[in-house]
Order: sequence, then C-alpha cells, then structure tokens
Amino acid sequence: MKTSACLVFMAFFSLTATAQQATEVVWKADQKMRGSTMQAEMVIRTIRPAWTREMNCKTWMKGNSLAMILITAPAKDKGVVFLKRKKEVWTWVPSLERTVKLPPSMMGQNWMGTDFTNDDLVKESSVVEDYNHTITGDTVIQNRPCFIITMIPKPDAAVVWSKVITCIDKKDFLELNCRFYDEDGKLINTMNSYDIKVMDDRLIPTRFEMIPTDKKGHKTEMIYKAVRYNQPIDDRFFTVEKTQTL
Amino acid sequence: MKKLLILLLILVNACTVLAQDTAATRKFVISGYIKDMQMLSLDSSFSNAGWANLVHNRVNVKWKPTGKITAAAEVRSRLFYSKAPDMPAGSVALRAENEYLNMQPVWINTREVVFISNAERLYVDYRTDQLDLRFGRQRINWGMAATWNPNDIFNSYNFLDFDYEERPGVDGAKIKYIPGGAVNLEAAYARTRLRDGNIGAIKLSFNKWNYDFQFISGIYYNKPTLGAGWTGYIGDAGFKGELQYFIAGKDSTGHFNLTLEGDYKFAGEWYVDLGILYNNYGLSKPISQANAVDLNISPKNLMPTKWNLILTTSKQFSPRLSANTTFLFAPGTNLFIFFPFIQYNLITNLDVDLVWQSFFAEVNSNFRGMRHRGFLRAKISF
Repeated sequence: MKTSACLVFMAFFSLTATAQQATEVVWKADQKMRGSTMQAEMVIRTIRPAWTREMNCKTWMKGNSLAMILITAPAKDKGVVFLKRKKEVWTWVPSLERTVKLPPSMMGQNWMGTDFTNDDLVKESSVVEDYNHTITGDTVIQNRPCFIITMIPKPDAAVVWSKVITCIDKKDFLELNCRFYDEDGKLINTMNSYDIKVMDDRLIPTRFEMIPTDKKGHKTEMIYKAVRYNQPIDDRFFTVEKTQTL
Repeated sequence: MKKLLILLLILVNACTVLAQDTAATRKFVISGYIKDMQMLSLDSSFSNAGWANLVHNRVNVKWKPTGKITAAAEVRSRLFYSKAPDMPAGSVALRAENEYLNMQPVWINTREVVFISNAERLYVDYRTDQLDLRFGRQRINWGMAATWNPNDIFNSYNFLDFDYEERPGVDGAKIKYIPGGAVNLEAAYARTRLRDGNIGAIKLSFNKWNYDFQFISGIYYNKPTLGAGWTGYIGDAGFKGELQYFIAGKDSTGHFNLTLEGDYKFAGEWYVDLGILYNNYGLSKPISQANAVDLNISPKNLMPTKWNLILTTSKQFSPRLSANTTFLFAPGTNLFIFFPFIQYNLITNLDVDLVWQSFFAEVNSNFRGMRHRGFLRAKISF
C-alpha cells in the first residue's frame, strides 16, 4: 500500500514537474520572440499554386493586449492600420477616412486572405496563460534537439484551437514547428520556422511559413526584415487617434 | 479660380517629381489611382442599352514638413463619355453642394463628353498628442456603422456610389482635443454653398465597457440637431448603431434617422452584415411613378424610404479574389436593390471589378424592375 501511494505521489510529482518545465520552456520561447515590446518590419508572402502576392507591414506589440499593424504595400492597401487593445480591434481605412470596429469573430479567421489568422498576427491569446502544457517527447529539427510540447487550452480560454503541438529548441528556446488542431482533433495548420539569425539583441527564426493541411500548394510566409525588442512604447501609442497618423 | 486650380495641379506635379528625385521623399507621401469604368444602363425590361465610360484619376499628396504639421492636396479628374439617356455626361459636372469654394475647372463640357477636375482635399493639419487642428477642404466623417451613417452630418456616405468611396470634402475647420485615455472632444464647422447651409457641431467620444460611444450636438442648416452612436459587441458579433434627430423649426418638420447593425464573421471567411434604417421622412407606401424614388441622399434623408433592411455577405477567397452581395428591401414601397460586387486582383496594383445594380419596386400595384446597371472597372493604384 505504501509502495503504491509512493508511486502515485512520484507519478503526480513527476507530472507536475513536467508541466512546470513545459510551461517554463513555452514562456522562454514566447519571451524570446516577443520581448516586453516588439517592433518589426515584415513581408507577408501568400503563395498559391499559380501565383504569389506580397504585402509589407510594420508592427508594434506590447504584451498580449496591445498591438498595431500598418500596411505599407501594396499601394491599394497602403495606410490601412489594424489596432488591438485587449479584446477590441479597430481598422483605419484611409480612403474612407474612417475607423471601423471589427467583431470578435474576426479573430479566429484568416487575415486579409493569407493563411495566418488575425490571432496569429496580433496575439490576442497567450500561449503561456491560455494553455496547459505537457512535454510529450523529443525530436530534432534543423539539427537542433527540441522538446515536443502538447498544449491544451484551459476551459475558460477564448482560443481557436483544441490542441497545439509545438517543438521548441532545448538550447536557444526557438519554436521551430507548431501544429494546430481543430475541435475534432484534425490538423488544420502547420507552422515551420527557418533562417535563424541574430536580430537586434537575440537569436531568432526570421522566416515563418504557415501551411494549411488540406490545400495543396498553399502557404503563407512571414519574413522579418527588421526587429527591435524592448524599446519603450507608451500605451497611448495604441490608440484609435494614432492609427490616423502613422 | 481656374488659375488657382492650375497652380494646384502644377504644385501636385512638382511634388511628385520632387518626391521621386530627391532625398526629400520622406516628407512627401504620394498615392492615388487611375480607373477606367465601362457602364451599361438598361431599362426596366432589360432593353434599350445605353453605354458610358468614365476615366477617373485621383492624386493624393501629403507633405509633412515637421512632425506636427501636414499639408494635403487631393485632386480628382474625370473624363466622362456617355450616350446613355439616364446617365447624361453633364451630370458629372454638377458641383457638390457641400463645397463652398469653386475649385472645379471644367475643361470640356459637351452633351456627350465632360472632362472635369476638382480639388477634393486641400488642408493644413496641426497635431500634437492632445490637439488636432485642421483647416481647409476636408472630409469630416463621424459615421460609425458600415452602411448608413445618420451621425455623418457633414457629408453622407452613399453605399450605392461605390466608385466614390472618398466622398466630397467640406470647406471648414475642425479641432479635436484628446485629453488622454479613450476620450476626445471634437468641434467642426463647415460652410456650404447653399443658403443657410452651414453646419457646426461638437462631438464627445469615449470608450467604455468595450463600446465606443459618441454624442453629437450642433446646428445643421440653421436648425438644431442631436445625435448619438455606438459600436461594440454582443458575444462575438459586432453591434453598431447611430441615431440623429434634426429638430423641427417653425416652417419645417423634424427629421429622424436611426440605424442598427450587426456583423459576424463565420468560419470559412464568410462575413455577414445585417442592418436596418428608419427614416421618419421616407416613403412608406407603394409609388405611382418609378422616378418618385430619388436615391440622391442627404444627412436628413439617408434613404428615400421609411423602413430599410439590408443584408451584405462577403467572402475573401484569396488575397486576389473577393466578392460581396448586398440585398436591400424597403417594406411599404417594396423597393428592392440587388448589388453584387466581384473584385479580382489581376497583378499587383491592378484590380478588375465587376459590379451590378438592379432596382425593383412596386409601381401602381405592380412589382417590377425599374432600372439595371452593370459596371466593369479596371483600377491601377500607385
């Protein structure tokens, strides 16, 4: 009896420790990619079997609650701004000279026809706080030993996916692969990260591709051209007024 | 006035060259488009085809000599050729009523061909963190909903006029005070060229409980007006509304417009927007003549009909292809509008759009088509 109790206790302790370690690894990877603030210039390239389209953006992010995206190309979309403050999202449409508030149902949907969702770009959900994490294995990606971590959303979390499996480099905490599953357990999207470089003060992947499972020849690439971390950004930057002046 | 316009056009052109050639590029932002639109007009029985063509150019120049000051000039030029009886070429030569100053030279004006330019925006803006002051020809857009905007009292947006989303400007000034947080107070004044046609109003905006609210009080054509608007959420759906009351004078009746709107984006990129507009001054009974329905709207009359229901559904199939369809129904007059729109991005910065508008109504107890229009448009953005 004592032995059984001991085994149960050890198993429980081991699971708790694994969960803690998994959460810590996810937190480190998240901190590495986002910092306390992040400013980036990026290219988003939507690739289809017969054509490719490029969009250039500038982004500003502060934690999970504040984000701004300015489209700088192509010409017809230039000047369009997306602003997120906590759960609220607005877009500034320069041709109409009007701010439009977007419904929350937009967040889980694809962003401007790409394979990234709005949530992927403005990070409404938190990979650290909205999921329970478990280390479920090891693997090697791009010659880097990685943890395989399974993330299950917490019951009250407003997230799109029912399960996310992520592979994080053990040494530098780089998220190199991520698979997103719907409520039926079906794999919907796979994200791979490449071109690991030092940007600003840290080593990060600078090219990300999002591949929808059931659409052959479809993918979207997001390429960082410049990134700055931990520069102070006043909360007042993330306002509807500011969207009109970027 | 023509000299002023010519000077303006030369200035815009000079700015373009400067922006391309010198290190001053950073201070100039130049954008715009050129469009060519072929229009087909059909009568109620889909016969008597009339054709028209519109070449439409817009050049927007912004100059930012300092971080606080912006000067903007936007010039729109149109070359219109028409042989369609219900789309006369001369109709494009009409000046917008809101524009007090005439900055619209007419280069050619014949029965079939009109070539015209207009300074659509011409303003100077001074902005600090807490203050924004803008003087000159500008768009003062106070709307919050997508289709109808009772609060947009300076110049109404007409959802049917899809080829002119920028709308004309007004000649006036506005000042916005932003004390901090999500509150701001705005005052605006516009002088129109109509007799007693001045508009002055203040607007208080704030954000509370995940809603944006605004309250408006002002004078519209010498009569007091009050309004309110909001945009927020019910669950995951958007919920917006605007109401505006133009108080009756001794020799006029009160006008009241109210719109409510909900929108939701479903899985698979399907977006649905459902709206209702009540216009107390609108028609509520079947008409006896097809031309009794006048779709030239104003802030007081956002639709010619009293009750209006609209359903818009859209889908972005890819970054290249998107489509939307609008159905409008006005109970009482039984006005029905069918308005599909397909946009295809042929190459970067070149879009081709196919648009249709069909108008139906009950005329003399007979529900029938009134007119139908098709549009094929190519647009190069720069």
